[in-house]
Amino acid sequence: MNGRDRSGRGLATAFTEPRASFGPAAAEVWALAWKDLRHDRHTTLVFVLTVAAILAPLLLLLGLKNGVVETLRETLLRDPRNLEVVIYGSARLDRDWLAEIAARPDVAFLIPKTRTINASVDLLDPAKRLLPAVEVIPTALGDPLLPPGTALPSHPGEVLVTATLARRLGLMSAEPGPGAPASGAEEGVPTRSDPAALVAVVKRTRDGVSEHLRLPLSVIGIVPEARFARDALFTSLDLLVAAEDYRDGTLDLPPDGAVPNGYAERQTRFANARLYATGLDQVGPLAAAVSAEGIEVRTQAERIASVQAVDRTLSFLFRVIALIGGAGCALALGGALWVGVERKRRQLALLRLFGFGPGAVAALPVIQGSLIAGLGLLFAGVGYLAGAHAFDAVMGENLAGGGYLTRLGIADLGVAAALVMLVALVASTAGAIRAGRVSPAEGLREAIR
Amino acid sequence: MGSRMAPVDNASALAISLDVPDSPTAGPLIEATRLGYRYGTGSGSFEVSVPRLSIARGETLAITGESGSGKSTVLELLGLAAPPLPGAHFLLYSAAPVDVARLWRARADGALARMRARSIGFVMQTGGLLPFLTVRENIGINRRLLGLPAEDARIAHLVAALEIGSLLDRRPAQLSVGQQQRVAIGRALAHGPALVLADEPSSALDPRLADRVLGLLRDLAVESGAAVVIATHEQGRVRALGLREIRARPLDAPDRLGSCFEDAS
Repeated sequence: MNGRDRSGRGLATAFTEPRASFGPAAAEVWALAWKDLRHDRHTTLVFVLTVAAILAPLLLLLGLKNGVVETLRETLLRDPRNLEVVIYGSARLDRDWLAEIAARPDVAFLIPKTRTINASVDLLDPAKRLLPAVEVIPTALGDPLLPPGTALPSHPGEVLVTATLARRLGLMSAEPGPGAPASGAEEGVPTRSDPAALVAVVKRTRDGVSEHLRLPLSVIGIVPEARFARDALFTSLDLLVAAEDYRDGTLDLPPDGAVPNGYAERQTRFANARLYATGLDQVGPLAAAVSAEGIEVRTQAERIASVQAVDRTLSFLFRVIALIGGAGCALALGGALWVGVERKRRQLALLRLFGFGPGAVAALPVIQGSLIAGLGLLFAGVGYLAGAHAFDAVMGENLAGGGYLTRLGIADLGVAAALVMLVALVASTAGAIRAGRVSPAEGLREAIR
Repeated sequence: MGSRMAPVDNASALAISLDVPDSPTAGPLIEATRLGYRYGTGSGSFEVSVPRLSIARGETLAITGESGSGKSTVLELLGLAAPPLPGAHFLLYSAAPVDVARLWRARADGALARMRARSIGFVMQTGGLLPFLTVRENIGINRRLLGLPAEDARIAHLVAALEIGSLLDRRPAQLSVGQQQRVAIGRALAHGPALVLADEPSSALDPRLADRVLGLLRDLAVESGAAVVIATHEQGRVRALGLREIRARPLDAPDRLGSCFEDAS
């Protein structure tokens, strides 16, 4: 009876022991961790500088790697043809297929083309000289070959000419005036007086008789040589389709003889297209997807692959160096925290004695490790800024680009900070386990010290 | 004791106004039988045994014995800092009676830590203060752990009685040993524990200072209703204070080394 009574009370008491809210304990543990670091400020500074000395070169290396790869990529991107997936020969591309490809997220620009043999016209310049077989390229909004903001032809009577062609036409110094000729051409009225007025001549032979169609064109802009270095006209697809139809003998022009807007919409199938990917890394997959449909394509794959290879190689080198540096950092920090736990064993035992739980005491080296690593990263960031400034000052001038050789983005810094915290957590594990095992009795036992 | 012991004279008046979480009325605080601890194993082992011990609330008693007799170990057992050998019966009347032996068997480290935080205060011989905290922060550590306000009448009274008001913003390294012990007493009593355990609190001090520190500890504990257990090798000083004495004697066992702690009366 007595025994039962007692055990019953023991049961009740052991498990009704109120689990007091220990929210204040967590705040106190953080405060203790920080005050201890502050008290040992010289030791702390040594650890922080150790971490910074490892991290700063790693950040610089990462910045350099990014800078080199980005510079190479920008050099490639400066020529938009590096983004092109060239469809080779004549294919049979229907509107559904084109819409499907255009909807892909890796496609930046897609416009159908006529057969290559029909993608040129003879030109009569204002002085009635004939320029035979000038390439005609369809264009539309978002054309990567045109500088952003270029005014586009608003109807099939308007064209852009490349700089080389403009020189041959004697237009290079002339300011192309889009206003009057545009409205004139729209009404089918020839505007011979305008110096930028050209005539496209499309020839055909029907039943042994040579015929030709004359289409008046007005030049509304010049495409810089850096964008396209050959003679060419950039115009709407309507003009190209009309020329093709004329050669095929199926041209159906209205009485005024002008090609109307939207003429190309009657065409359901095209022989070719101009196709551009959104970025260098998208060119390969896009080309693969198109050629998987039996369409022969060509890209600047080798140039892109060489940049990607440089990227991969430098990234691999960086990862190896970062891994070695990170491991060294973890060992140095872990050792320091371990020694700290040993050195402060009595203090940790006192905390246990005063009623801090094993988890709270184990958290101390973890918090301290994180604080040291965080401060180290901050110092390393200052070191990085100094080093990056020196690099850019010495070597940035030789760069074609913006003159920034070292580059670190917010995302890079975020990943770096996360990895550093991970290293700190790993490093503090041993110290934390050791601290968590400190017995409260040691607070009394080792009284004399 | 010197003339500076003035706070003792109006102690009874102040005791009423101080908040005491555990009931200050006389009643059992600790009831323990067959409390034991063993160092090492086999023939080289050393056993500390407390066959029977009961401590009333607010009582002051002394544990005496030679150095190495295991006085500190008894404090560790009473302070929930070391696990008793199997077979112990150990009740601590906190807010409610708690079966401490059962908590140890269940390895309830967290629950034991919480009980230490709330119900027990410790005074060490030396070095019982955290060097990286100021005197004020050292005194308040258990109060912060428990979520109590940093300042109240109890703290103000302790600071005044211990005459450490001018030291509050210093760190332990800047204090004399006597000052450190006064701060340690303040820390042990700051959160209103039911039990204060003091391990040789006066041994590192010169005799005049030792009397004063011991007197302060006892008087302030009595004021706040806390029971005090003082472990010391200085039997004479304990007797001068007229304390109940638990004394160590060699263990009555031919095959084992150890100490047995029993009432000296």
